[in-house]
Amino acid sequence: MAARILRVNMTKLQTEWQNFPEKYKMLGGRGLTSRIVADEVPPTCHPLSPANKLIVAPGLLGGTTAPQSGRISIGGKSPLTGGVKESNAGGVIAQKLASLGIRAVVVEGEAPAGELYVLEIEENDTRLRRADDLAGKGCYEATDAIWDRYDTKAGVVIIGPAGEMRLTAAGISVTDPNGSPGRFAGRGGLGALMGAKGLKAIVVLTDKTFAAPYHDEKRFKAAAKRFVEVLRKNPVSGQTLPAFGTNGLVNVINEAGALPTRNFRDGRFEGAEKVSGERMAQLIKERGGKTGHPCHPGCVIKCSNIYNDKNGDVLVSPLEYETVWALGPHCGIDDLDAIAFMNRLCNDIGVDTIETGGAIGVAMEAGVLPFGDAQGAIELVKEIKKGTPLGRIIGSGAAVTGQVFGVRRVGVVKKQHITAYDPRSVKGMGVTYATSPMGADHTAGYSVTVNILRQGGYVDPLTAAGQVDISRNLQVATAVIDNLGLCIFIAFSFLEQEDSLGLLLEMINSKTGSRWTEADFTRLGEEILQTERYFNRRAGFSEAHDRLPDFFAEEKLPPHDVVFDVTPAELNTLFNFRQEVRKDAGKAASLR
Amino acid sequence: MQVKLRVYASLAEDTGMDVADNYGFQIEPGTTVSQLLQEAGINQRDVRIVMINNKQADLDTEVRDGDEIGVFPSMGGA
Ligand code: SF4
Repeated sequence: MAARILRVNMTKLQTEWQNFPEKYKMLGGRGLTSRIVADEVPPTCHPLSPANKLIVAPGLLGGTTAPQSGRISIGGKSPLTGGVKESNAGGVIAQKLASLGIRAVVVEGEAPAGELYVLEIEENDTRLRRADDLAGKGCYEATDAIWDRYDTKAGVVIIGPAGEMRLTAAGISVTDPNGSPGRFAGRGGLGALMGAKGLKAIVVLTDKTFAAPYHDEKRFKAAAKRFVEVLRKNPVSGQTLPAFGTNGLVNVINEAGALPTRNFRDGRFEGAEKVSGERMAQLIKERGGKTGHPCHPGCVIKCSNIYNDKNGDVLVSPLEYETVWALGPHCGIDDLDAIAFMNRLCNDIGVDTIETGGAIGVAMEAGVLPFGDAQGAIELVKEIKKGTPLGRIIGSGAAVTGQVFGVRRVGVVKKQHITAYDPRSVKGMGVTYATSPMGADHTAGYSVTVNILRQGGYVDPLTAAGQVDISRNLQVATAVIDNLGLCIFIAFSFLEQEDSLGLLLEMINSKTGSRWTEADFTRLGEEILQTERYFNRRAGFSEAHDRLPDFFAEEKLPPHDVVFDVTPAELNTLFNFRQEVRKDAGKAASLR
Repeated sequence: MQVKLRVYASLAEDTGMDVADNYGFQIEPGTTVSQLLQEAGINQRDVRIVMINNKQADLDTEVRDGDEIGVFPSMGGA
């Protein structure tokens, strides 16, 4: 089956197959979404304009037997940041698209005012179907309605009311193997972009999961099998993540004095243990939920979980660290059930949990409600669905909330909220937040590994020295992992087990017929970042945007009483790659 | 000398200690983290992260009177 792109024009209500361009051969996932954004989206367009494009792309290894290869990248010009955006999710959609030979779905234009559509994709057929019956429906109800309609197991990409309202904290949900809409391409307001297109959902109708083509299938499968062993042997991916999920981090980051508490006032939260991964795992066990749950077939790490309420009914899946932090310690809330309930509400409304928690913390700072008020926070989240003015403010994220309420202490970079590591006491993360073309994004270069977790070396998290180099290396490597469509948690083996990189290269080469070496791997990562920077520059971003909010350099964070002191001059060196930097990476020669 | 020890994740499961609780230990001056772990019945090969008073430390760091020590196995996430 030849590789192809599905073009969807919402203005003309037409779809069209396009042969996959040779020049994009080695691109997938984030590499592909960012490249198409740079090639096709006018950098200065309004993110909600018909000229912006929503791009959904499985990774280069999507639909193969490589473990962890089911991640989906969704890209476009971000309604939240105004820059390039790739938001990454799990779920079943990447494998289904890749198995149909679809390397990307590119949606442009906008549907006639007031009309809402579902895009149905089958192997040899596509349809845009009116979906006015789904208007205003939450992601759970709307996904159920879609599942009821088709007898095959549909993969669903969907927005909630927040996306339809075009709120800048709106995310895009992807269904997991149980048909639950909990996998979110949450960050950067891409739900608003999908809403502006008049597209409620994309439904992929196929049972195929591992049907992507290979250059050399036998070689590939041998390498994939060995990679599974590597992941199982690694103590993080083999033991800790399945047992405690990502939420195992609460106690670590709190013990390190780096858990941002009550809108960045403290690095320690007195209620940390009550919302920790250990506590969560115990509650899950008592209530008949599940730990060690995979977000897509072929995940062998299984960091996901199913969290039940007190009555043993499913509340949310998964409950993750960043969400727990944003709706918990950041707001001074220590009630895990309240946090899980808000997570469900956010999933249903279709808003990013991190941005929403960030905004609620800022509203608490402003005195709209007190820190620690779980019930008040729940009511605020419900306001978003109602579309009240207050709900729309919260649903527009922390930067807007801070602006409306006159709050200065707002932890955003490029208008996107910082996540669960205070940049003053995990300085490598501060560098990533400041410089990532995505805005504050912990996954873009997860320096916590080296600063706190002692994986892949150690650099003191409290000193500025060496942090730029760590962040640079991780940002380059992460861009490639995102290009391949692999879950970021393979990085723990990557940092510690020498055979990992060789196996990845073997999979890349036997999948595509290329002869990549480590140097190509690095070059691809650098080119992806340059492409993203090139787009951002033309969209009006400069070095002045690669900075943390100034309060991080002025206010000391307890318990270490430190400020963020990586200098602007040092931050400016982040993109000084070893290899010659291409002046014009957006037009760079294609990767072979 | 009096110090407090906190254990997390699988270390708590393995030892039957409660997660994040402060366990008091009476120790001699010059005791290292490693020796403290031995006294607490924790296999130091299972320990990857050591923090003393919220700062990163090592197994051979000497503990001082009043220190609070937190220990973890290999941890990860994002
Ligand atoms: S490890 Fe977690 S995030 Fe990664 S693929 Fe598995 S369930 Fe999804």
